[in-house]
Amino acid sequence: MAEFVSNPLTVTLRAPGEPYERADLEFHGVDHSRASYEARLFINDPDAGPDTPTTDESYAGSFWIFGHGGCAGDEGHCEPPRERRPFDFRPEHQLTPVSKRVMITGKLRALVQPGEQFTVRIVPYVRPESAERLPDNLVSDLLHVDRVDLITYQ
Amino acid sequence: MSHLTSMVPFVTGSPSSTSLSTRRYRKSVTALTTGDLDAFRTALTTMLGLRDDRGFEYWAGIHGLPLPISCVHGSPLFLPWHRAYLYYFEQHLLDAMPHGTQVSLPWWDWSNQAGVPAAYADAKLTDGKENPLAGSPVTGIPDNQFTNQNVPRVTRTSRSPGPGGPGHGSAGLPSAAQVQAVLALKDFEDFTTQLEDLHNQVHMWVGGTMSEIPVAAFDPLFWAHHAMIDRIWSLWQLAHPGAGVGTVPHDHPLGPFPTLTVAQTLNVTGLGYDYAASTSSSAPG
Repeated sequence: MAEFVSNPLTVTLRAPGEPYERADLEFHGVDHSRASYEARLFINDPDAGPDTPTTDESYAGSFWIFGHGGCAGDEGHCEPPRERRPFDFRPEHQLTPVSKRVMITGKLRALVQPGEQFTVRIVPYVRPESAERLPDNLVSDLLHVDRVDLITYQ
Repeated sequence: MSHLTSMVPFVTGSPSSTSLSTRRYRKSVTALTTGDLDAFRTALTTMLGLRDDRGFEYWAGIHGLPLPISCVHGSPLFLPWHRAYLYYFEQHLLDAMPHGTQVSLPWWDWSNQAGVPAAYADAKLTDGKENPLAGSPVTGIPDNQFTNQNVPRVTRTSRSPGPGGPGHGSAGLPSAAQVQAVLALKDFEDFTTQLEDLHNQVHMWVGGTMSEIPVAAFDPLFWAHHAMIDRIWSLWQLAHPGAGVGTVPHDHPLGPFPTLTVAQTLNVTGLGYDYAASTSSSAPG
């Protein structure tokens, strides 16, 4: 039985000083090679963890990763190339990291004053029944994100 | 142009060239008649019995294991690829039935939050036979593709439906309001990103093998879930005519479906089907 070890990440961003009609959090370089999980986003809640409910006032939304489920091939099979060669017309490697977008307009307005810094706590959550069935390497240290952007639109 | 390609109508988003009389209508699983459901189960059972490239094992395996894993996620090709995948699968359902018998994939409207439909949930049918929609064997995957570094070998699909953790309420499935919000998005890249996230949420809600890419498509519920996703894309296309598929080249091939490109997935009626709330037929006399 595997134990799900959450490895939440916290990033610091700044809300715009000007009014906005829409606010998105964009997550780039998201790894999806292992178990499926939900990434829950909490604003200004540095202690949020897998037991923090999504009814909590700080909860701003989630994105879901439909995980690749580990590597079925030989060594190196699941390592995306660092760069694509010219004239390589094959499809992208299955495990090329993905980008996700979560709209947080209402929560950002409610929880963060214009121009203020704020934190986003990203908490990965694996369903217990999945954590029990899957090997350790698929459910531990799940969350890998290269960059988080706040994009607002007027 | 290959011989096979020439057999498939080329669709660019214009009204369908498909004959109305031969169009298949995909319906909600809760709107299927007893006859519809019997035909669907019969076709699926026939496919389950085939061990060649007409069979369920072969088509379920295209999405995940055995290698190569061919599904496309996290990309603007997510919707075109899965539309092509369902199209090919549905063609083999039709092949499994006597000539002229209509059968089509039903959709599971998870946004009504009623959970797994009874047609897919009940292990046994009223005659005591096994319900082929409740689960399927997971076969055709070589032992060496279970490496102890990936999902464990299973011999049969499983589900563990339920809310995805604390705070998501008793349902835990995307709501009708969430679907409407996604349908209101105007940009394709925005739409497909948000719709794929709802799709991922449902895979996780079903749990078990449905939550694992390598074996998800072996669950018959996979096909009803993806018919719902395809239906939402179709509804979005009707609501946003001309919105297209963003930066995706229309001539992009959709491997491993050799006769289809992105362009040919842009109009469901050009592929010979549509989504209907209900159908009723009668011959005069």
